[in-house]
Amino acid sequence: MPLKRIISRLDIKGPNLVKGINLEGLRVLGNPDFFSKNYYYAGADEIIYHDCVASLYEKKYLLDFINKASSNVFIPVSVGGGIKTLKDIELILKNGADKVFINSAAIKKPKFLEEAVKNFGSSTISISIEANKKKDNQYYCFYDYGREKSNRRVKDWIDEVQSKGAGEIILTSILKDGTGEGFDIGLLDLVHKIIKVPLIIHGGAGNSNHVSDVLKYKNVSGVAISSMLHYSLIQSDKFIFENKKEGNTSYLLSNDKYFSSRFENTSISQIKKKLKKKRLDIRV
Amino acid sequence: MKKITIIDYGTSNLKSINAAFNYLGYSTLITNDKKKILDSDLLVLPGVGSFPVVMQYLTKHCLDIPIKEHIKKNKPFLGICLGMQVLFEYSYEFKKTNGLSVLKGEVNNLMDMNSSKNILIPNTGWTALKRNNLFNQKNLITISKNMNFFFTHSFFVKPKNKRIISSYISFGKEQICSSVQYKNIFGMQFHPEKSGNKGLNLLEKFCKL
Repeated sequence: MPLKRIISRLDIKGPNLVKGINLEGLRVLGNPDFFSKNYYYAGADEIIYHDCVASLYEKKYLLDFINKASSNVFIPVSVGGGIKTLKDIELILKNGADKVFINSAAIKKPKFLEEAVKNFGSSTISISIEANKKKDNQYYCFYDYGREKSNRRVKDWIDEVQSKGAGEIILTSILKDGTGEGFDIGLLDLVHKIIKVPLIIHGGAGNSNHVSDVLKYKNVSGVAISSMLHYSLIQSDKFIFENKKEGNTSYLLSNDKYFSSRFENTSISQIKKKLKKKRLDIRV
Repeated sequence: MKKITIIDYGTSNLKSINAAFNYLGYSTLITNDKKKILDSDLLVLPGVGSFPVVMQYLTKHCLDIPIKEHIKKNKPFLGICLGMQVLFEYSYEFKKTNGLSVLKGEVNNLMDMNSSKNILIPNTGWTALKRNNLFNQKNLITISKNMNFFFTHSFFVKPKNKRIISSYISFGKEQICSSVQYKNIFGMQFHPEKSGNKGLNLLEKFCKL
């Protein structure tokens, strides 16, 4: 079995790295290039770029970030958000991404997933799932950055995308995203036994114990972390804020300690050291 | 300055492999021009996509000829991932397809392995390389503890001559070939351009051949 991956996830809106809670209330955190470069040197196993708005006009920022990453970050780069056509995928790969992930477009038209796999190969096409409970207390797949509900149950959708050739699944818990309360273990317990492709868990990491809690599952290939890494880096001496004069920058300009109290102040290398001590198979 | 040529066959992600060479201080030429390929000192065949598509492209554009010429002249050749797989006789990806037959052996599906029931496929992630005791040349890859490289693949090569296997990785209870080395031919199932410093060091060693 490959080593368990620690992946840093960067949510992008226009020219900025952003982060919210429950995929809402996005705050501007700075220049994505600065963060990805730091995570590469700190020992990240992979980087995920997720475009939150992904309108055609704003895509040029994303492509620019992937371009820069491919020339100074020598680990795999996975990109998604708003991918609708095979042309979109081609453009993202040509700009230096290694993998793309799809959510909305596959939920609306599952055949698109099959076409993507046929054209670019299984290992290049991942599925992103934004999961949340509805009133019946069952987990369903949401889309459009958590704004829209679908009628697909998470478990059924995992079965379907695996049979259609998805090479990897990134599973986000909307409820836990940005909270630092720990990953959604209920969601993981529901799905881990039916997993046949690599599974990446995202949403809720607040400290390294949360990370080891999910990496203990045999079928979990890695975790994607955003808030905990971003807020730690912002608090470090290295951090330089470049104001792009767009979006909600009030968090960075204020001295809000709310977030620093929810997330362990750490780094990828420190997290990895702790995981190694717990005898998890990690790349150091 | 050595002429490093990367073969362009449309689908592959050439950007990162090119960026890795540039980072190491080497400029490269990305081309599908036969003459330029023949003129190179070091030749790199990257690989993303599927076996039949790549072979179709190489034969349609008659690129098989300069690749074989280059290898015959004993100049260093590096095949990465699918770029290594096409060196063999045939693959079973989608349908049985002939490869370049530079090396003897075939390309099989990980799904057909006995271990595959309990293992996630594609085989994606960082994995440590293991020594092959039958391999007795000077290995381009230094195999030691924590030599982890990034893999992402669903097919793997089975060379007929086990002595050309320069490293293995574990796949469940079995092991599969993760790199080959035969005279001037180097093949890697993993992506050195995506394996951080260790990958970059390996590429640098190749550049210095």
